[in-house]
Amino acid sequence: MTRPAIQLLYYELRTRSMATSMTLAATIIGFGALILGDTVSRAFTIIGGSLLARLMGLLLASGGIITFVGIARHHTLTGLIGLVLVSTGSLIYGAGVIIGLHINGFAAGTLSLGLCLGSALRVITLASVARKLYDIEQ
Amino acid sequence: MNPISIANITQSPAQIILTIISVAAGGGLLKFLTFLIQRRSALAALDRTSSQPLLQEYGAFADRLTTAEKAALEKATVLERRLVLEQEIYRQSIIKLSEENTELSKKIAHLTNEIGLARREIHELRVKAGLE
Repeated sequence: MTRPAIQLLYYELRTRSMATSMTLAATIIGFGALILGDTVSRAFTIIGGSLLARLMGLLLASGGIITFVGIARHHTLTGLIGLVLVSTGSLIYGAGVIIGLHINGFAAGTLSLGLCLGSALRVITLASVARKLYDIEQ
Repeated sequence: MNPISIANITQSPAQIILTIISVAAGGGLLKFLTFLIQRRSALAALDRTSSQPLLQEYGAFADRLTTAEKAALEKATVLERRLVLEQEIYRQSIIKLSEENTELSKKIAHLTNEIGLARREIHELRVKAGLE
């Protein structure tokens, strides 16, 4: 990784600590789910959704990595595609936790759905800002 | 096929609900990706606006800068990018608030008018009843 890429990741971590660390956490959870399958979460073990857990893992892990590549390369489209994948993975995880554990999954489920909503809103906001900047440029 | 194997392939309701949610999420994912690809030129404009490296603007002069100065310029680039984005977000919020303000003003005018009519009606009723 080149020095500017590391610097960009560092600045992103400094300036948007919450979003960056949540994406990192999503990536770790994603890899965990890809390796462990439904044992990654009690909820998925109860539901018995090994395939769904791995699908969620694939979405979270690939989304997280793509987001970081987007940040390091300073390429907004790549970063946003990654965020969309993270958002979808978080939705599946949040829904799975709430469906599988019912009220016991309230805390983790709400956090995950919050991450899903936050990522989706960021994608919509940045796409809207980009459109306006494009119009100004034209 | 015996009943046990049928039971084995039968999915639980929770699994079915989660599968439906996942399929819906997949649909949403595709819609979002299409939306982003449609706006790729706009997003490229965002990259151009936000990532014009200051060092490139300085050209040959950049070679004479110290590492600390280069780092400061790169930091300024990132901050400039954030500033542009935040300015646009605030501008959008102001436009939205202004629209909401106009709507509320219209509602207040309408309610004031209704209050005036109600007061006149009360006055007429009191006159009729001989109270005034």
